[in-house]
Amino acid sequence: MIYRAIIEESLLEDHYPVDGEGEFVMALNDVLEHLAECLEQDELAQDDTERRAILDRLLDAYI
Amino acid sequence: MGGYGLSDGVMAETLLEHVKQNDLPSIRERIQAAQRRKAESKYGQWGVEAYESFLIQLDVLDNTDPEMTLQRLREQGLYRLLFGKLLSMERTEDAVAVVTEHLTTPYERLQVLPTLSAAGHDDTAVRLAQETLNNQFDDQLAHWLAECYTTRGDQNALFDLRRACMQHNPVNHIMLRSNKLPRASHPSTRHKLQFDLPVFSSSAQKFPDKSEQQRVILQLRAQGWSYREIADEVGLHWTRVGQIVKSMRTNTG
Repeated sequence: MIYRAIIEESLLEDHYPVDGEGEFVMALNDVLEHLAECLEQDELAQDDTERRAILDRLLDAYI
Repeated sequence: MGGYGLSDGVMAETLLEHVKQNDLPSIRERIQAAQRRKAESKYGQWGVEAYESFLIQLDVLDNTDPEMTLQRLREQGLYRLLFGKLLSMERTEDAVAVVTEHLTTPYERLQVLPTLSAAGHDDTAVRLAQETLNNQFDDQLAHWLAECYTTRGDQNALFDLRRACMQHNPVNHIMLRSNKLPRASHPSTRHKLQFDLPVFSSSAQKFPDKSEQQRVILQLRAQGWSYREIADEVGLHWTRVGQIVKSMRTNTG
């Protein structure tokens, strides 16, 4: 839930410009990796709503 | 916002592993919309190709007719992906035809020939590389071809290639020198200097000792190099360089 919230907030238009050295983006990538790891947990992977919410946040960042 | 290319490293693997059949239509729709936006932007071609690569994997998941995938790639002129798809379908002749007809520059060839070689078609890949260099010399492609010759132990071809490199670029030809090539095994050329410069194909080869790599990264950073400049120097992705710098700073307090 926290990872998802961070991503939702971070992807808001013009809220957080990309820094030259990419530290913001790297931090965000770390969060995305942790979020993706959540799907390794059976209880989350089996929960369709939760699973889909995670996939949607990953997709938000991807596109 | 998105569009940063974020989660490139995890997206495909994660989605393909955890996606279910009924998720596919909406995911496909979002990717296609993003792809259309990229197609309209000035420098969006890389994005179009990245999203198409993802769509190809979705095609496999929902059992789309491969011919439809191929047709879509042809229509969009995404020939590198078309080549890859054909190769994955073991239609090697068709894949090579795409390379011959559409992927003709040294840069384009360098993107596909290693794949062709790795798929067991080394002779064809080498021949195409030779043809390309004959038409338009390119250091990067020559470097790759030199590695092929070295692996094959084809020292005559390697010598000819090195001589061509010297003619085209007298300064940089030393980078093509193979450390496996015995000294004095070929007739002398006007270049008398011999440099034992190893050919690094990866960061792991260049820095077998990780602590040495970290020391170099920190040193360059201290000299004011950017992550991207350091990444080019040490052969890592710039995000990895950033992680190493941060982690070293944390560890050293």
